[in-house]
Amino acid sequence: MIAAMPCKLKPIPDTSDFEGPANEPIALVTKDHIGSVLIAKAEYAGAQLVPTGTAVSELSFNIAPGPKTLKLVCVFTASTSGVGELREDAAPDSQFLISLNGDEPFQAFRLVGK
Amino acid sequence: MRRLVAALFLLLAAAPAHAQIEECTFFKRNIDALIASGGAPVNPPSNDPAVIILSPGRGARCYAVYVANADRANRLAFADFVKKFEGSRTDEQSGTTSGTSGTTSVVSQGPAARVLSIAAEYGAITEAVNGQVVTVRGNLAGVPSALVKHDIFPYCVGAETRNDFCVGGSMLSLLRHVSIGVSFDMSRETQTTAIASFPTSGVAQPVTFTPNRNDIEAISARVELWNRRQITSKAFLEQWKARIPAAMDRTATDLLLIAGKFYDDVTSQPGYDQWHATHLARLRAAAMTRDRQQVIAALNDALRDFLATLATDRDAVQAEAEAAIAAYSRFFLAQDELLDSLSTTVVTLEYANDRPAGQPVTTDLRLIADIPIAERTKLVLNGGVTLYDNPKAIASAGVARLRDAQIAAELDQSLGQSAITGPLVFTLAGYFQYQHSPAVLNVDATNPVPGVAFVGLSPNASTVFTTTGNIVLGQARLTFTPPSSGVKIPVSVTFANRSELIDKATWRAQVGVTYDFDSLFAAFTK
Repeated sequence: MIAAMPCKLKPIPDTSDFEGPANEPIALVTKDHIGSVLIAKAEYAGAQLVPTGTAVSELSFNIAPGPKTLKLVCVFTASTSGVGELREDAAPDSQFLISLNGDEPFQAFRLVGK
Repeated sequence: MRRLVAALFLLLAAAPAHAQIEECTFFKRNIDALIASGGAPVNPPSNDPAVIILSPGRGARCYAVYVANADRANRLAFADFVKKFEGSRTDEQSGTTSGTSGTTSVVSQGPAARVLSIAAEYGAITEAVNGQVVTVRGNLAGVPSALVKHDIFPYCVGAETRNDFCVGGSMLSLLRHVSIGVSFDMSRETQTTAIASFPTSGVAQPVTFTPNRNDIEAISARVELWNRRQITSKAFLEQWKARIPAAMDRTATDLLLIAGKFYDDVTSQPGYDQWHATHLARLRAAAMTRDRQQVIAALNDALRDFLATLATDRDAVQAEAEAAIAAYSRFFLAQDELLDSLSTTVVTLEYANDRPAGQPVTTDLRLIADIPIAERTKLVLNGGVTLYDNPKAIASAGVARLRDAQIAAELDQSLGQSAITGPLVFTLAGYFQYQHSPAVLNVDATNPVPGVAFVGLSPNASTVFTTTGNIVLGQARLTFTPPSSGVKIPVSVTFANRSELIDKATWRAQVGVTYDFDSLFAAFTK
């Protein structure tokens, strides 16, 4: 029997930001709604999360201590009409983080490691 | 003239500073959601429209538009117009259309260069008269794409197309499906007519030389009638994913850096947190009324105060916003171009008006189907007719309006690439031409048909023609694309059972050179 791995990020009230345990690994995944969406570039705590020459649907990294900004650039098969979402994945648990829209391919929010 | 340009510039620069906030899709979407929610908090807050609309990180583009005052910013960028243009593609038709004198292509390809291409070809295939044809072909989307790429006009999103000063993605997509071409017969360029100035019987005789300026071989236009893109198919998604890095790495990196800098700077202003808290409460209160005008007024107040928080470094942030808008435009354009370039089944209608030297003017109508079979394999099918424009003028030759009808098929197999030759494409093609009316040549002693000598003709003969016969031919072709050169060199061997004028089987070798100006323009951007 596999133990349930609850999601680690908690929303910070009245913001688009999240907090979580510092130095803990998390996995973020994209989910498609209109067309497909992939992450072409991602930067967090000064590190590039998407390997060069790829576009990915999943990011895995450790939550850095303190407030750090996660910046994403997403690409959409439905161009500016595309819609998707970014979720935290901790199978079998999963939670919605932010919506992804083709007209705003750049997204930025803070992850606060505590 | 300078005064007129200066006055126009001042007039444009003096246009209203801020567009309606609802013209930016991010604001409009969240205003709609906010009114629907009545301002009640939504969980998680990252999905709460009141929170989202006051988060520059979630709608950095619209915040940048507001801060930069996009209209003014993009008009000022006119000074940068002369710089650079765009990327390249390998599947386009650059040369003259199949069937034109001098063409080395048995089968016409669907796509054309994004901006401009030039192709020089020597060695006719179906016609007995060899041509040396240079074709200039361009895509109608080339110029507006360049305007977006070089920050002259922004790319407009969704309802933002109502803005007169932006270029819509749907319009670009439409224009990308239309191309026009002009082919010039270089052999005619060298022809000069010499007319005796006055009769004389001497060995040396004075003449007046008259250049032959009628050197346009053909004009053509091509419209994609059907472009089937299955964005949910596994093959499409794999191809899209594989090509994202090459097609979008630069624009995505720029967007991450430039929009990221704008986000960092506006959210690190001293009054930002206070601004966010104050206007979140006001926006919720306005949304409780579910009155759209009140919500918009509250958002306008919020954005006005947002500008005020930038007071300490307003000019620098405004410059960053302008740079961010340009980065978004380039990103959207690259994204659309990537999607349009992916293998799709395309059906194209081609019209060509062919004016070969010493032959009657004809019109070609052709349907072209590009059908991807596998990632490296493509099938191209053509079906077309050639019509005499004025059959009555040559009725003595027994011609009807229908000159001939053709069907053709081509299988392109990419062979990968090497460091020296670049990408190699091997092509096998077959062609059948039903010759309904004979091919006709005009006999004109002052303007002879290149490469044809007439012997024993009656001095009164003005038109010659041959017996009709169907043409069957096969071609094997290898196309070299030397790396980073923008040049394509097709080398082919063709067997034909006959040509239009000569009733004998022939083997021919052809070579062509195509220069793709898309690559040249792309080089400027590096």
